[in-house]
Amino acid sequence: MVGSATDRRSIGLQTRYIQPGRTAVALVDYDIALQQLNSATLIGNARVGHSWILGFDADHRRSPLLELNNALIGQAAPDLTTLQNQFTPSQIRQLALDRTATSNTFVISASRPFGDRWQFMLNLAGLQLSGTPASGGVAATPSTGLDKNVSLQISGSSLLQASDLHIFAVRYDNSPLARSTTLSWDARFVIHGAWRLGPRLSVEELTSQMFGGRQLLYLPQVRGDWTGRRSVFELTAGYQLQQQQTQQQQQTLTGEPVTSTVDQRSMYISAAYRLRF
Amino acid sequence: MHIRFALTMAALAALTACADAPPAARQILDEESGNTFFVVTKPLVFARERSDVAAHARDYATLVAVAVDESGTISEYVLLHRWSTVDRRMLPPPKPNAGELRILAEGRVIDLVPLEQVPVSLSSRPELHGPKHGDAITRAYKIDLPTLHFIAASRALAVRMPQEPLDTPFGLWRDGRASLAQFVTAQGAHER
Repeated sequence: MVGSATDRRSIGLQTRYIQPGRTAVALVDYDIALQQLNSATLIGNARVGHSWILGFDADHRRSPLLELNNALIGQAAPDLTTLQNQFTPSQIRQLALDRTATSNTFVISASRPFGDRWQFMLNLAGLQLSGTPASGGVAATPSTGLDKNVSLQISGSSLLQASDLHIFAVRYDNSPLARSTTLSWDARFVIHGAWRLGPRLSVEELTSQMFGGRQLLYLPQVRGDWTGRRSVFELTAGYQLQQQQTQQQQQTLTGEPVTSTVDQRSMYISAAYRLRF
Repeated sequence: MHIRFALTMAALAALTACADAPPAARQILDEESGNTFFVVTKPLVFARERSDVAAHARDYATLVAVAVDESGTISEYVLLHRWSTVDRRMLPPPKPNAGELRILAEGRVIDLVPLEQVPVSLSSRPELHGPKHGDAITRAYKIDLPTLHFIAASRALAVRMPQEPLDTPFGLWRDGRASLAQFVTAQGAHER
C-alpha cells in the first residue's frame, strides 16, 4: 500500500514436475490490483539417451516488476502522494502500465559430459524488450528488437591438478544495435590450502553503428580468493584495452574513407569480503 | 603354389585376429618382489553428480580387478580409486577409516572391508588405472573370482560408500563389465 493506493497485490503459482530424467518448473505471478500478468516462466530439462541433457527456459515478464510505483518513472514527483496532485488514480494506473515494458526470453540448451573431466554446453537464446509509449510527459522508448545469441562452452576440471577448473567459451551475439563475438578462457588453480588463483582472458570484437564502427576489447583479469566455511575473501585485478576503429568520409583529394583507430586503456582492482549466514 | 598362398593368407588372418582381440588382462612383473600381477584392461567407473556443490562436478569410484601371483599362490583384489572433480574446499576428502565398499549388483549387496594397507605391489603404479588428479584415495579389498564373475554378469550395478558422510549411490559411468568378464575367464583358466 502507498497511502490509500495499492502499490502491488498479486497472486502466484509455482508447480514442479519431477520424473527420473525429466524436470519442469512453472511459475506464474498475476497482479490482481492492476489486473495484469506480471510474469510467467517455464523451465525444464530432460535427459536424452545416456549423456545428453536438453533444457529450455521460456520467460515472459513485465520489466521492471509491475507495481503502481512505476508511474513515478520519468516524473519529477518523488512519491505517489505527490503524483496524485497531478493525475487521477486511473491515470496513475495507466502511467504505471505505460512505464513497464515487457520482456520475452527463450533459451534452449544442450549439454553432455565427455569422459570423466570434460563437459560440453551449447546455449541458444533470444531476448526482446518491448518499447514503452509516450504518456504523462514522459517520452517513448523504443524496443530493443530481438537480441539473439549462441554460446558454446567446454569446461574441464582436475586437468592439471586436483580441483582446478578451465572454461573455454565462444559467444556470438546479434542484436539490431550491435554484433559481437567473444572468445574467453577462464581458469581456477589451487595455490595453497583454501586459496585459489583464477586467470581470465577474453577478447571481444564488437561492431556497432552506435559506437561508430568496430571495437576490439582485450580483457585480461586475475582473481584470487580464499573461501572458508562461512566467509569468502576475493581480490580481482584487470586491465582493459579497447581499440576502436571508425571509418569517416574525409575531405581528401581522393574522397576515399579513412580509417582511424583510438586506443583506450583502463585498469581496475577490487577487494571484497563476504560473510555467509 | 595355391596351397602355399592359402596357408600364408590363413597365417596372416590368424595374426590379424590375434592383434585385434583385446588382451584379457595386462600382465605385469613386479621386479622388486618377483610377483606377477594381472590387471583388468578396462576398469568399472562409477560416478555420482554433485550439483549440490558445483555445476558438472562429480564424485568417482573407479574399481579395478587385480590378481597377484605370489610364488604360485594367486589372490584376487579389487582396487578402489575414490576421487572427485569437486573443489576440495567444498568437499573434505573421505576419512582414511571410511573405506567400506558396498556393491549393489542385481539387488544383491556385496559388502567389502578394506585391507589395512594396499599391498606394496599394488600401490601407485600407473598401470592400475588410477586418476592423474583428483585427490585420489586408493584402497584394496580382497575378493574372489565367483564374486567378480557375478559383478561382471550383473545388469544393474551401483556402489555406495556407507561410511562416508554422503551415502548416495554411485551409478555406472564407464562400463568395464566386458573386460571384467574376460579377466575372470582368463584368471579361471590360469588358476586351473
